Amino acid sequence: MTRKTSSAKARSPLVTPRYMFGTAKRGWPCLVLFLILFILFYTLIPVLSLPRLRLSILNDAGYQSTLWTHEDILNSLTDIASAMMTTYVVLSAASAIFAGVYFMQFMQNRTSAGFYHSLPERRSGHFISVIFSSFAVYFIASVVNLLLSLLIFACHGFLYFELLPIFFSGLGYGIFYFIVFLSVAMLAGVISGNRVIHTIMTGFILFALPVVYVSAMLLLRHGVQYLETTELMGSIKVLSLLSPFFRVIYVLSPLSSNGSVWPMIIFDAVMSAAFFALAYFAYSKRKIERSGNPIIFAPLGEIIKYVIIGPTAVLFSEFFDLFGSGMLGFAAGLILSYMLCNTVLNRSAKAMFSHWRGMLIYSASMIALSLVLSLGCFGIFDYAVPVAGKISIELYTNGVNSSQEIVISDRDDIEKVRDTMKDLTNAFRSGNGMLDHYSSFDFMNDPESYARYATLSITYTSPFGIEIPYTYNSVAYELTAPLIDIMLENQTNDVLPGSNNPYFFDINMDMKLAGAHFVDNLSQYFEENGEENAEQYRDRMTDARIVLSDSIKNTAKNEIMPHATKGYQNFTVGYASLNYRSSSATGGDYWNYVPITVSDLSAIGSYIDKNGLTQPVIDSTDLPMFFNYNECGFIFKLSEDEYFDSLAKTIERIVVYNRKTGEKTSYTGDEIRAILPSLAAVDRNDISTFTKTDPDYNILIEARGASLYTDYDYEKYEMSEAYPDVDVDMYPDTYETNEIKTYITWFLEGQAPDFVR
Amino acid sequence: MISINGVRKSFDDVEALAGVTTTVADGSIFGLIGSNGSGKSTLLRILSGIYKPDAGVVEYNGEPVYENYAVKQRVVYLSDEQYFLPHATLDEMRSFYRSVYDTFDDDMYMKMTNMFGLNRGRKINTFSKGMQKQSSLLLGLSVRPKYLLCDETFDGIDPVMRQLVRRIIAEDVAENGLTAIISTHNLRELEDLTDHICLLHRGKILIDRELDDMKMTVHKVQAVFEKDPAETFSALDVISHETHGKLHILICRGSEEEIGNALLAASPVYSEIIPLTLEEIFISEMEGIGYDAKNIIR
Repeated sequence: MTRKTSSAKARSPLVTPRYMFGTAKRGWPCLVLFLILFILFYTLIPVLSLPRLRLSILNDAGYQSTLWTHEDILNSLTDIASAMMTTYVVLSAASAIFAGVYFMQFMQNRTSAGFYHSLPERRSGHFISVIFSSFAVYFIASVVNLLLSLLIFACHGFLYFELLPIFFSGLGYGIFYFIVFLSVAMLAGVISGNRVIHTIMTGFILFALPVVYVSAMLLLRHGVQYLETTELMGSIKVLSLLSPFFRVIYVLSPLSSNGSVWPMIIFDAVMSAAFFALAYFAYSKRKIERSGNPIIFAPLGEIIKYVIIGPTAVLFSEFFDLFGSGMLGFAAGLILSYMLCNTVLNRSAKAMFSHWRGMLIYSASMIALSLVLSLGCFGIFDYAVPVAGKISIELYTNGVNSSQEIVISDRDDIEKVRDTMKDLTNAFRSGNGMLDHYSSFDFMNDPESYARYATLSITYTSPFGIEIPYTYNSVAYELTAPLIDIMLENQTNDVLPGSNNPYFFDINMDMKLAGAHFVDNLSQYFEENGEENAEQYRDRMTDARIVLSDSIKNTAKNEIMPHATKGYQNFTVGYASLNYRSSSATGGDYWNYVPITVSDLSAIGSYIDKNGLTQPVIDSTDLPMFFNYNECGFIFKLSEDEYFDSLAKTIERIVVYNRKTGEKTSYTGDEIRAILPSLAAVDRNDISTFTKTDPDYNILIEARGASLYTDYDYEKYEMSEAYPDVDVDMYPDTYETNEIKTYITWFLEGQAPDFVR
Repeated sequence: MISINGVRKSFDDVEALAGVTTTVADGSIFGLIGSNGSGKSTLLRILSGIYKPDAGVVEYNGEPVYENYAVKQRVVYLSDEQYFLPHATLDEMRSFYRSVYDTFDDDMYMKMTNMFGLNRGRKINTFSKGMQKQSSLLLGLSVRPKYLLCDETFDGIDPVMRQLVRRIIAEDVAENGLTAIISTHNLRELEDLTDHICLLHRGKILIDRELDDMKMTVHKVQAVFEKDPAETFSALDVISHETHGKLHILICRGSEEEIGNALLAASPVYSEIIPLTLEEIFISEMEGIGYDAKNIIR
């Protein structure tokens, strides 16, 4: 019989075109629905947006005499077209599921399944007809709407050639994801026996793995102390490996701009082909007599049941855990979902407890697993150090005051890091190397402990690109020393040392305009003023160097320079008042004010554009980051020596502490005044980046009595008096800065100051 | 010719067909009888290529039907549960059938539609159950199939229409060589229609014979005797015996000649061999093989 059937099959056509086209023709209700949906959510976008754009252009030209350039218009149109593309891809995915359910309904009912399978058509014919019909109605709806959209663009005079690639790439993406989701819907349809279950099963295929994954993470969260399960749960990269749903989100989201989407697309193409093949295979094995049953292949129903009840139990447990009854929630979720699954699968509530022994075994396994994780039995996860193709290490010392992040991709170094982490986790397990409690309050009273412990974030990137992050709080500094050595070896970007700049007017301020944020904020300004647009402004200002006007230079030189013994500063120019300045500190807040002063003065200077031409600062438009700085320079009341004298009197002791070896060197009395300039010469920020040779030192400054001398009073420099031609609104003021508390623990990490060496 | 050889089919743990073997001759009307759950519908669904048998072979002139386009082009299966495209009219169903079957005959369709008096433009789901049966039948016959498989087709059709349908099928058999398999649980449906009878019981064939053969071996006799005919009756293979006064009604096994000779020997006042109804033949056959027919057929 087998031989004959095969030969009969060979003689029978895979599909008869007449039947295939007939099936597509009968799908007209589906086509009408798609047309309506596409018009509502796709074609309506330009219908609503283009008139508004047109109005904006006309308004700007009429009332503000501003003409939109071709580029401006194109940018706006690109935004509209991109929004349409995104919507279209989402619609395509949804349409695929609907079409799959719609065209496969013939096999989801015993009567219709019998009728259709008695017709002279092979199963391949039915299968191909479903694919063809689904695609045909979708494609017609797509093309009609695309043409309508192009027509709308054309009617508004906005049909630019540059937009066509967006439309056609959108069509390509849409078609691709339609096919991907159709494969999911068809696989679901073949294993389901009725329409409702078919729809649910499509969701099951799309979300089962992510839900199981999230549940596993929730379970792990109770047992694995260091693994960042929350971060892993929300990782779109991991989720996108588990479901085409998240892959679409990833491909459409700005995240994808960080890397190629092709691996995802190839993955989906392969998955889709596999799903179609699997669906066809399952269809060829499908027993028509089982149509109408929830699941056609009975053993699959049992598997699906257990895949559902596990995560449900975990989710219930998490919810009930809020009220302190996690185990009760676990049991409730398990039993309720089991009863519900059985009722649905057997189409009878009487069968809710069928196969109860399986449930008992499953429950016992789940509970055992939960207990193992909750109680941390075996510690297997603590030992786990994943295999990685790349490792990212972020090491915080002294809280978040100093950190360094580095990416290691050298194989030998990766293995060194992994060995170190294995040693570390072993040490943790034996109770060494980690504080029991971590509280910054405790550290305030115990600066040595504060100096001795670090926080380590380490992310292993697997060869498949999955990032597995671990975070270890309160790790003993000496245990991280091997990592610091590796980080130092891999350091590629030397940060310039804190330099003493005797002439602060030579300071170069690197203008790094802060991208989209900056442009967005400026856009409104430029719209209102009708001058150059933000992009042009950014272009003009990029790499510009600010120089100070001579009058300012002179004033500053005479009055401020004696106090400004240093002041290297990188500036990132932004719109918000605080964004542009990265605060730097040297030896106390005193030194913070030097760069601030400089920046204030520069506001009314001039700048050199990227072509090397000096340009005057016309008004605040040119340097919008200084909008909020009506103030001007500061005049410090004390000279540097006077300040050091005053400061030294309030310091009880300075301890240079080697946190790796625990060695301490104390400085008291006159020694303090002697070392203060050296101490102040070390820029804290620069040292903390581990670019220096002595990362192991911390310097603790212990105040005498109530407080250190921090009353480094200053007056605001009244700019309007010095520069009457400058229209700035200023009021002289004198006030004290914040007072440093009783115990100041000032840590200068990294390079040991000269006096220590 | 349809050849069914050792066909088995189970649904989970229920065995619907337990090794069915029979042959359906071309140009014949094959009556498939059995009580509910006997396996008739399952056998017809296997014959129409809907179900795949777990074991055994179904062949149409040596060709398997399952997944065989060419064979299925010649087979029409009329299910006991009619299916029509959602909200379809008769004409829309005609278009569908025409797109599926190469042999669909529009003239036949028009002729039968008129014969049944059905409104071609009305949605079939608004038809009565009987009209839906007629619709299904007229669409099936309009295909001009070589093999027509009818599952409880006559249920729900009024006697007049039933007679018409029977006539149409008989004519098609006679004129076009149609082979029809008609399943029913009601013997009266098949009266004067079938050439061959196959009785299914619990998935097995109990009786599978030509109707003429059966009629040749069992006869019904009415006779009136002056003397006690007990001796005469002992010479006959009597299956059943009723008396109404002096009138004896017997059903006997044996040829007409044998029975006639035995009766003549007893010098009856009156004797006549009269035709048996199908039910009577069946009862006799069933009892012959040790079954109580009342439990098997209606």
